[in-house]
Amino acid sequence: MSQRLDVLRAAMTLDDQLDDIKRAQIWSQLEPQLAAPVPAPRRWPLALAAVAVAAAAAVLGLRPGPRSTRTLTAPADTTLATSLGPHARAELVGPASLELLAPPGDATSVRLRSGTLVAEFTGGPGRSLRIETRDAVVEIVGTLFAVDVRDGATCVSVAHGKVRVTTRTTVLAVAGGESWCSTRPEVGPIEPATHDRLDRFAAVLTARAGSPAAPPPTPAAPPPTPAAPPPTPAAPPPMPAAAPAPALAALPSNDLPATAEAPSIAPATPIVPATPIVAVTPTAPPAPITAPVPATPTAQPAPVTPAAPAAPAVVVAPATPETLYEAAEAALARRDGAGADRIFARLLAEFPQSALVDQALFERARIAYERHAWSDAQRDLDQLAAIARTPLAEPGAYLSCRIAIEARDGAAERCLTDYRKAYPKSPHDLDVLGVLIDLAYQGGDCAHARGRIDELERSYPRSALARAWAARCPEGR
Amino acid sequence: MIAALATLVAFHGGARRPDDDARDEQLLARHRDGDPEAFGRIYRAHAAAVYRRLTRVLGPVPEREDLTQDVFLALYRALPQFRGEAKLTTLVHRIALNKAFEHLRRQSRRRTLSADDVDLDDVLGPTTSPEERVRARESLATVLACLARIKPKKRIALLLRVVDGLSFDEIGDLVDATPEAVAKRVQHGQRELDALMARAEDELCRRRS
Repeated sequence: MSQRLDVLRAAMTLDDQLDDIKRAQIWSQLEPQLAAPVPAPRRWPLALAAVAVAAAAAVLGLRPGPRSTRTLTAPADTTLATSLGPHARAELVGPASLELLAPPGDATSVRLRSGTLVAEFTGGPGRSLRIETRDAVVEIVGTLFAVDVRDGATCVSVAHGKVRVTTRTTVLAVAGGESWCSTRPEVGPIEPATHDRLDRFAAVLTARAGSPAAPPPTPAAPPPTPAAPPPTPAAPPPMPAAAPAPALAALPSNDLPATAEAPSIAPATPIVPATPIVAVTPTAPPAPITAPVPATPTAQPAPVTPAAPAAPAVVVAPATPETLYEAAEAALARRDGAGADRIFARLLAEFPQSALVDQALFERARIAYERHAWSDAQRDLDQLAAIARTPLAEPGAYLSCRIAIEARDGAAERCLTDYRKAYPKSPHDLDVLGVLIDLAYQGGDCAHARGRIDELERSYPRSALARAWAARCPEGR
Repeated sequence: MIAALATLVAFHGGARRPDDDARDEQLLARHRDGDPEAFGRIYRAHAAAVYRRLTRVLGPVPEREDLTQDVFLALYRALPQFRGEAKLTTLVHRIALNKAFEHLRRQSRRRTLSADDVDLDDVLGPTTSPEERVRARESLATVLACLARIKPKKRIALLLRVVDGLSFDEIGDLVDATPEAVAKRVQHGQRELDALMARAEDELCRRRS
């Protein structure tokens, strides 16, 4: 009977730990529901009436319109990082409003009502990205580009590749390094500020891909020819130059939500949306770019700010330890350990006095542990151990021992022994003792492990582990 | 072999600390005051324990994550009426057990968890021999199949007693029953399980021979 209960205990405690990734995933699904109204009690007559109305509508041929729209709104000084279908990563620079005209897929169609959309679209058979504005339709087959809608005008800038722009009167192609605005007929060079934005977006994508082989750097804008007409007074004002390398998104984005309208974010309070569909970054305030913009069109083009180095992942400004931690958790929920790690690193760098430092260190150690980067994990754990009176000292010490076990550096036994001395009432004590027995057994035989097995039987006589070892190493062996 | 599986738990233990109740009270007060972050912290503080509780009553079923979500959604909706009559932990675990109970009742009409639903590879490690894997899977299959045949109320009481080692009073507090009723459920559940497992083991022996 007792043996059966041991089996029962073992079966029901199997895999009963909720790791941080699962925890964050559950939260990311739960959080949007918290804001939803409590469902009303069932009302069958109303439900039946609704069914009847739906049936009547079906019979009469009443169908919803062919297009359902979902709107993504970026307030001023805010950048939303998102994706437009499976093949396009984008940033929406506020103030901006973007409608998704159909569920994103290989063929994705959006309408940019205002603001700037910077995107990279990876082309392929059957893939297309179509951006409608008030006065143009921009069709992309594969490129890094920006579309800007401002003061009633549309500008399209292409870093590399080519896009087709259709207006009411003409169809034209805009190639890499070129820009076109609806207020002037000719294609010209890209505005330095737009160029800078494209460069930085490319850098973000490169960082996100974790590979230097990601999209090539944007070619420098060709020098404007003397024949190029000066901007007309009616031309849209150039976009403000962004400060170099603000905290830009380095998180993988998900598709826009499939059913709900993306939340509109209040300009005064840029927040991370409840669902992890987009990452929000404050747009840097207008600032001069690194070199002065030439005053005349005949002058040499301004050297463009080089692509920013991989910036830490997106958070809300002004960033606080809490917002950074939340952003890191959201990254963990997306299984983006690298993104979470960057955010934790930023938290540690910018808020070394925060109460969340110990948690950030522990999480970084766990992330490093999971990717088998033992020395990185141990470095964080050493820092964690130096923090006085943190409740994470015990799990940190345990993780440290697990690293020693995994790394097979020979220090595991000493680490585990020290751990048991430091935390004699640890909830992991039985596990640790089990590992110590296992190590001793692997190093020899039952005789080597006898002392520990005896201790196990004394300390945890009713445990399944004690029975297992008693069976494997009975007295006298 | 399976007896040793339980020892391979991860490093988030989850024993409550003395100051956890004080922290819960602070978080509840912040939540009542409209602090939007307070509930997230309550979630972070209790999610692992809820998940563990669900596992120990339901077994390693894939629905545990959804149920954990349901528990906290129900908690969020219950908090406006919660006046601190019990500890927050007690409330959370009552809700968790209610959800587990509902799940078991639904499950009894559908297929039950089998050992094939459990990814033993994650737990056993690469060095476990094929024979040990087979034995572990058989033991697990037997336990899960037998448990599935016990009525939810008895099953919950039995597992809270046997796996979590709770007293009849503690179990009664969680499942809203008197200690006497709990004792009876545990006793009956244990008897049934024992009989079922004995029969299943005989069956297994016959098959092997």
